[in-house]
Parts: sequence; C-alpha cells; structure tokens
Amino acid sequence: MWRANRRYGYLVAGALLALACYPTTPVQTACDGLADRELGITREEYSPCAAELLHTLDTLQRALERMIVRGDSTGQSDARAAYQHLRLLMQRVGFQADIRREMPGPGRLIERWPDAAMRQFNAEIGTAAAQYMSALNYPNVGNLQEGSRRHELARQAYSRFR
Amino acid sequence: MSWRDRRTRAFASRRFAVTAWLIGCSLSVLLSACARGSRADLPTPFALQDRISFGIFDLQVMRWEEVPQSHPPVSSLNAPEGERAVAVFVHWRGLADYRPEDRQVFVESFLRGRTRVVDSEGYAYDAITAMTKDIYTFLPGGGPTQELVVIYHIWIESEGLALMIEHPDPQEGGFRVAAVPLD
Repeated sequence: MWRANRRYGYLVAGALLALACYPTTPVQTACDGLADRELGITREEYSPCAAELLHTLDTLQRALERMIVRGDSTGQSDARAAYQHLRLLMQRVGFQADIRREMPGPGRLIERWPDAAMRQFNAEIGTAAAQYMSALNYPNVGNLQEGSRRHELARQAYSRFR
Repeated sequence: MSWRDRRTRAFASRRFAVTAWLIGCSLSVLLSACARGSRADLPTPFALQDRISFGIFDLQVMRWEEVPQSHPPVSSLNAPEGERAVAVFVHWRGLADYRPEDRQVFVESFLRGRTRVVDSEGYAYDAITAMTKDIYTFLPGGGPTQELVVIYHIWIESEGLALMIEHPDPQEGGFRVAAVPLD
C-alpha cells in the first residue's frame, strides 16, 4: 500500500516537473526584434508591425465602444485582451526605451527612427494606448473619444510611410 | 603511517589538485574574456576618404581645416577664448528608404551625437554643431547636400587630432568605434 502510494507520488512529481520544464512558445508578432535595433529602422521593416499595432488598436476601440457606449459586459474582457496584446507589441517595438532615449535630447530617437512619419505614428500610438487604458480602467466617454482621435492621427501617419 | 592516514592524505592532495585546476580554469576564462573585451573596445582605424559603413548609410571623412578668421555669421564658428574652431568635412551616402528632409535631419543628428575629436593627450571634444557645406561656406547651392561640416571647439594647443565615430548598432565582427586621424 505504502509502496504503491510512493510510486503514485513519484508519477505526480514527474508529471509536474515535465509540465514545468515544457518549453512555452512565446507569442510571435510582427514587431519582434525591433526593440534591439539602435540604428535606422526602415519602412519595410516597420510596416507589418505598424499594421498589427493599428489592427490591435481597432479591436480595442471596438471593444471599448461596446463596453462604454452600449453597456455590453462582454466588451470589457475583449478590451482587456486587446490591451494586453497592444502592450506586448509596444514592448517588442521598444516604446519604453524610446522614452528614455528622448530624455537627453531627440538625437537618439532620430537615430532609431529616421522617418518623421514613423516617429509621429509612435507618439500617437502611445497616447491613444494611454487614453484607451484610462477608458478601460475608469469607463468614460472622454478618454475613449480622445483615444479615438489619436488613433485616427496614428492611422494618418501610417499612410505616410507604409 | 596507518591505512586511514594514507587515505586522508591522498584525499587531501586530490582535493587540492581539483581546487587548483578549478581556480586555473576560472582565471584563464576571466583573462581571455578581458582580453577579448579590450580588443573589441579598441577603435578601428580608417584613413581620410575611406568609406565607413554603418549599414543603412556610409560616411567618408573628406578633410578638415581650422575655421578661418573670416567666416559666415554663425555663432558656433566662433570658439571661446583659449580654444579654436575646427571644421571636419563629411560626405554621406545611402538612406534611400527615407525622405530627403528626414535624411538630412538624421545625418546631422548622428554627426552631432556620435562623433568627437580626440587629441594626442587623450582629451575628447564633442561636436558643437553640424551644418551643410553651403551654410558653412556661405555659398547657398540650394537644397540639401550630401556634404556636411561638423564643428568642434578644441583647446588651442591641441595636436595629433583624430575623429572618433561611434557605431550605435555594431554588427558581429564589425567596428564599434571608427578612428580617423586628421593629419
């Protein structure tokens, strides 16, 4: 009896260990690898990532509209999922490091993003994401509208470099 | 000597040998890493007019001169007392992916931020400004040019100058800092 229990224990421990060691595949995005770049990201390199950022922002906007304007309760979970993905994309692009690069002067930011339209696109994406995040955490129409305005400006900037 | 003493002594000497081997390995790994690091940090020499590639664009340091007494009315061309203004002429190519106005802003920003002049005593001087050649010569040619002039203010007695250009995104086996002697 005791020996059987011990064998069962080993099996469970082995299964847990195997589960813990199982390599989890990280989510692949069109923005992967951009955070490591320090010099001259080109339109060709950035266009697919920018399209994914805009698409995720579109999904987030629709979910927030459902949640705030129509009072649909499913909107919130969809909005949270879209916002999580947006954050992941922004992380893969290196938005946080860009803010640090801008601190001593705009020079380092220009080295990474020589295209002015790309720099504007990134700035609008960052602001739209912040507005949408506020609308998600404190549901209100004001942040949603400002987010939508910045989102539209990002779309316009995208059309200049895609 | 008893059997137990012999065994203890053998164990101790083996332990000493293993420890010495481990320390030796660690030291050699450490030393080779340091040597590699210092080699990688050494500037790579380039001559005047050599093409220096940064992937998306190339630079060529064409020549340099002391800013003459009579120069255009640009304040950065006036060095403060005890210093002299030096102009380095740089030609660039590439950046085809970007708009002409973006290219110009990029190269000027790069030259201001990533270049410095060092003298034989090891003093380093950051760039004061970068401008197109037509502004420097005060002979407007119209539109952006591929030749830029970078201005440095260096100590009046400095000699043995070299231009250092930092590569922000060095590739495997590529240079991290390019050094161009200004002879």
